[in-house]
Amino acid sequence: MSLDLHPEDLLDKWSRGSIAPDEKSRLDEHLELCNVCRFETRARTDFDTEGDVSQADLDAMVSRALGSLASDKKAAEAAAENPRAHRRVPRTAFLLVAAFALLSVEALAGKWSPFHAASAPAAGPMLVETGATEEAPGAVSAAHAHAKAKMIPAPESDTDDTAVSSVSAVDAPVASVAPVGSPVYTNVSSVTTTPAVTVGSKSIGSVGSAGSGTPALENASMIFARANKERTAGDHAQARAAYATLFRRFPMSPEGMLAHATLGRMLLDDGDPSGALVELDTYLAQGDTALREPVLAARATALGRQGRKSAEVEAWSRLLDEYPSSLYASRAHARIEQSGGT
Amino acid sequence: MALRLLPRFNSAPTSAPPASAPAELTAESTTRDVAAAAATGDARATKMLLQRLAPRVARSVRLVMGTQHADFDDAVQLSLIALIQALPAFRGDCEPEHYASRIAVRTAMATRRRSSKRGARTDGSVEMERLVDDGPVASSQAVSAQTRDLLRGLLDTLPEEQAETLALRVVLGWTLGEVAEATSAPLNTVRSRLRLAKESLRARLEANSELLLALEVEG
Repeated sequence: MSLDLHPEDLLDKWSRGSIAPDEKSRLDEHLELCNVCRFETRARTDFDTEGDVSQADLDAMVSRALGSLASDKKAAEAAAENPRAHRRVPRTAFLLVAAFALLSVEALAGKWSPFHAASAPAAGPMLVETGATEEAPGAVSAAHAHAKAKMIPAPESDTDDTAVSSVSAVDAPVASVAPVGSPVYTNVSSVTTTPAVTVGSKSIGSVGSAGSGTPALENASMIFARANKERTAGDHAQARAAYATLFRRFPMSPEGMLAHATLGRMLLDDGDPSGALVELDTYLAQGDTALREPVLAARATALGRQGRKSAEVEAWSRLLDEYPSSLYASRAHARIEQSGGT
Repeated sequence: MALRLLPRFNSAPTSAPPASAPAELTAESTTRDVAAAAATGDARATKMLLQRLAPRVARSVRLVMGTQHADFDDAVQLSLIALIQALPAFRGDCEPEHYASRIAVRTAMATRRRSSKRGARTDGSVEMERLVDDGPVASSQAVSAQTRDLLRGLLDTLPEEQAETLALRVVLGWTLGEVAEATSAPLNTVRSRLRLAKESLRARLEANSELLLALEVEG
């Protein structure tokens, strides 16, 4: 007899309580011989007896999901209404970028003079990063970037909206014209035959385009979503960079506040309890309650990792005080007991 | 404000008029009707649907991931979001509850697999579930815990379709027909997936003599 022929139909009837006596006998005979089916019947019972999630927890999860969906919808609607809005740059900003870049290059080359500056064309040339460097774009100093820049003639028509809207700074609003430490990359591929922007030997494509990996201008929810996506995909370095961007650009947004919790949890996973504590405490200090319970648990865990037993016990006790029926209650009691607390 | 229902889940969104007379959406409306309205992007229907299905989604995630898995909350939230995003593609072949459970199971399995991959650089004590199980437990509880661990561990390694079938069948306790309906797979395909999954289960069991002995004693 082949034990691979498991009596699935009999197992269905057994689980529904509709099995006939003769069928039950056949099933019992099989169960005596088949470890797998015996395991299955045991497992079905075991899984069925595990506790359920509290209604309060369910409500919190639904609220968070609805918030996330609403945020996504808002971002999608904004993008649909004006897909180029995030990339649009005022013409004056473009001119300022171009003029600043020109002056910088000339100054570095020792050729600057009031005359040169005054004679700069109104629609100044654009810059393309061509120098070989291994540094990350955001880490390149302005002077360094400018020294490596090469002049590309501006398009004939300076009213070309395509050219204007393609100007972008890396990971910073274009309005902050050529900030120190942020070289200005210009996408000229749409108006000239010049190849796309390159850094070192690696092309970074049309900087500011969606596929470049360094989105030009994102709102808070977009950055938050990107950070969470990187985090759940396991790319914690990218996630950390995205969270940092979110904190810098939208520190007071709801996403910016929530991100302290998710970053803290991630740092805990990465074996950095000190960093995690900073983020988790920042989240708690904001007074937000959406993730308060898991954040309290994560905080207690971080303190435990640091070997700060009394602080850990205090943190678990705080969790139990605020959430007596917490999902983490059994863990809290166990840790308090292990630490000799009451 | 009265909500209007569209006759099918995957019919055109709000701009298209409903083919049949729209119905009021109330607390007594069926989950199928609520899901149909939610599929059109109606915010109130979406909230109502999530409130109805959240217990089932959370239960499915918990069964697959374990009671106190560190990523449990994230997985439930992701499942709820995925459910709403997948509604327009729902053809109504099965009950919305089963559709939601299936999405939850898939999300939970994916989350567990990601957690496993992350495990190499993660201190084990972060996983709450493991920490809770540290202490001595009564033997029956120990067997139960081992049973669940073994099955969850197997789900992490099986090919996705086999894992999904095994989870729906054994962890959630569905019948073969329910699994076939929810996964849109022929019954024989479900049987085949289950048989292959059970072959892997047999190999795992035979490698765990302690659990095997406990099951034999109980049997």
